[in-house]
Amino acid sequence: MRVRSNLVSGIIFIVFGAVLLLLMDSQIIVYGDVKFIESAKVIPFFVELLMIVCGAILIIQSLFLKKEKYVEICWDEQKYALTMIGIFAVFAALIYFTGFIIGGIGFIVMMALFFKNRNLVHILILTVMVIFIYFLFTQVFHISLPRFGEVR
Amino acid sequence: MDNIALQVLGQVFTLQNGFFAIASVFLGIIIGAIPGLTVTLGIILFLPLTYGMTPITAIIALLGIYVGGCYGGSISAILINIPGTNSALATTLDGYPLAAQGKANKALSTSLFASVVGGFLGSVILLFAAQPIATMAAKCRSPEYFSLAIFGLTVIAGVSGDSIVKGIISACIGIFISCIGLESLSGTLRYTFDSLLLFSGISLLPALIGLIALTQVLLKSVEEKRKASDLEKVDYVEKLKDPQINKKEIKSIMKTILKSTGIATVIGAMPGAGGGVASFLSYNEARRTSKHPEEFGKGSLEGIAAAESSNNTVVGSAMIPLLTLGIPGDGVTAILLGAFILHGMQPGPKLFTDQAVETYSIIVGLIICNIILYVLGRLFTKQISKIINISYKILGVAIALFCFAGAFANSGSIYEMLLIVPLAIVGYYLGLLGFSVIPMMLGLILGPIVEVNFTRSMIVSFGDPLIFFKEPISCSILIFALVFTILIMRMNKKIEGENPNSEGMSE
Repeated sequence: MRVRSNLVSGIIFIVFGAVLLLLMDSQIIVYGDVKFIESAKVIPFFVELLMIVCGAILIIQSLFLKKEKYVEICWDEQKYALTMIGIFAVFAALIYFTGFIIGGIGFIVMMALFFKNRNLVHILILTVMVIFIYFLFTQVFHISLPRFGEVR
Repeated sequence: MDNIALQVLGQVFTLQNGFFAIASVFLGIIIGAIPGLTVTLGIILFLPLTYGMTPITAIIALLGIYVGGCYGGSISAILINIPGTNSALATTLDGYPLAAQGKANKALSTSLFASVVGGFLGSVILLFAAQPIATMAAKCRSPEYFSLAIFGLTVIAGVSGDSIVKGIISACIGIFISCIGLESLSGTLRYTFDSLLLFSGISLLPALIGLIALTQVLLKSVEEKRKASDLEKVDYVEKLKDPQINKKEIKSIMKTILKSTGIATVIGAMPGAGGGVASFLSYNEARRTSKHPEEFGKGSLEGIAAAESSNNTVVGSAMIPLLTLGIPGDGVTAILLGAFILHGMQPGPKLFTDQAVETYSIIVGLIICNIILYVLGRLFTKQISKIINISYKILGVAIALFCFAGAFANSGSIYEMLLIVPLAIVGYYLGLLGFSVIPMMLGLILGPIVEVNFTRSMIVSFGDPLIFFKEPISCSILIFALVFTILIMRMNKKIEGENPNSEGMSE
């Protein structure tokens, strides 16, 4: 599927900027008698406005100036990307429930399945790496990593 | 001054600094040598490990990766014609043809020598140039700081890829993300959607990991999965049996190295230009003034020397605007700016008065990293050459493990670790639509500086937005920012026209 990147991006950011602008009054409540230009609203306001303006420029470039960049989005690639995102999410959940080492080993297995990598040496190297990373953080640099049974 | 010099020597020459400087330069060479790993990625992954270190050790270690990575990029550029880093692209032009003639060792030793001389001189220039610039900049107040931060955002012009409009949107997203949570001046909550998790905002490190590092893992893994066959395997070490560069050849390239160092010092200090632009400009200048221009593109030692000395000089010169004005010279120094802030140091003119010992220690550390590079390059280039073809099936998993561990290590919060997944999704799909994540990162880092100084300026000027133009220094900085943006865009266009493979050279 060929996607007109400027047109799509333009629409996305006009909508995104507009939604944020509409939400501003409920999401940024300024108390007291503070001028708008000195308030916490001013930078988000300009940033959101700039998003809308740039989005409009992209649409004008695409529709009127015929300055467009086509992006090929292939379903297979998207399938792989979504699978990878799923693996990342499962890995994060595994770390949450089982700690870094077990979660990491689970991640290695999932990635081996994803790449159809049956090379046991690779899996072994990566397993050692999980343990190495754990000890590097916790023992050498004294930075804690989640342990088994330690749901935060 | 003597007192500071003694304190600096005492701070720099410690066992801990020595160990981490050697380890990080070594790691940097490996990161640079492996195509698909960038210096930016290396620094982001190493950043969480520096939390337990002193600011001096931490920044020296990160600079070690930068120094090592700039040379490491030339190893794969010379041996397999794939630059390990974007700034090594110009090295492929003569490095690979020379390796193909059976002179890979000569090409690598030329690259090492030029990198070390360029890097060393760039660092020495930083040592002597930084203080006078910082003294001049010390007169800056909030309007000038705001203008400087806007100047820093001109880097966007150099790192936006094919569309500056998309670069501006990307930076806006970064600034917006930096606005989430508690505002520092008034304590107002912004875009928290009543979630306690968002009260303290989105921390810089998880954002960098999610948007840059994990996004890269996602992109490369998908690419690896699609790839039908692996790269052709070659025994690279077999190529390294020829003699190294000799004294006569060193003499013949010295003039080119010095000239390239001069060019790269100026280019590197300009926001947005970076090592890629500097190396191509130096390469073109070396070819223009060479006695043997016909050898360029066929394995010229001058060509390799020009490209490599300039990209390593940029390490030092890009630190000049960073340390003195608080504005990053390229994508890598933008991450370093984040690292300074995370370690409690605010780059800018006050750094040379408030934290003079730490600042000079870091600069001296950078000089030492270049000396270490020479030793490690001589000893280990052959061994490192063996691993440049490592499969992404291993590499991708290892990087992802570091990403999750690093995100958790930032504050010990599972929430920050979970956050990197949606950020990677944002980074991936924006990348698909042609958005570069580097401007987003700049927005994230410079956003708070822009905001604080804008609000302060508004308060002291009773809400007059023209204050930025009424103050002569601030107005000059803004004019400079505009001129630089146009200049960088033109320079990028020219270089991309001459070298079609050079898109997005500034990391």
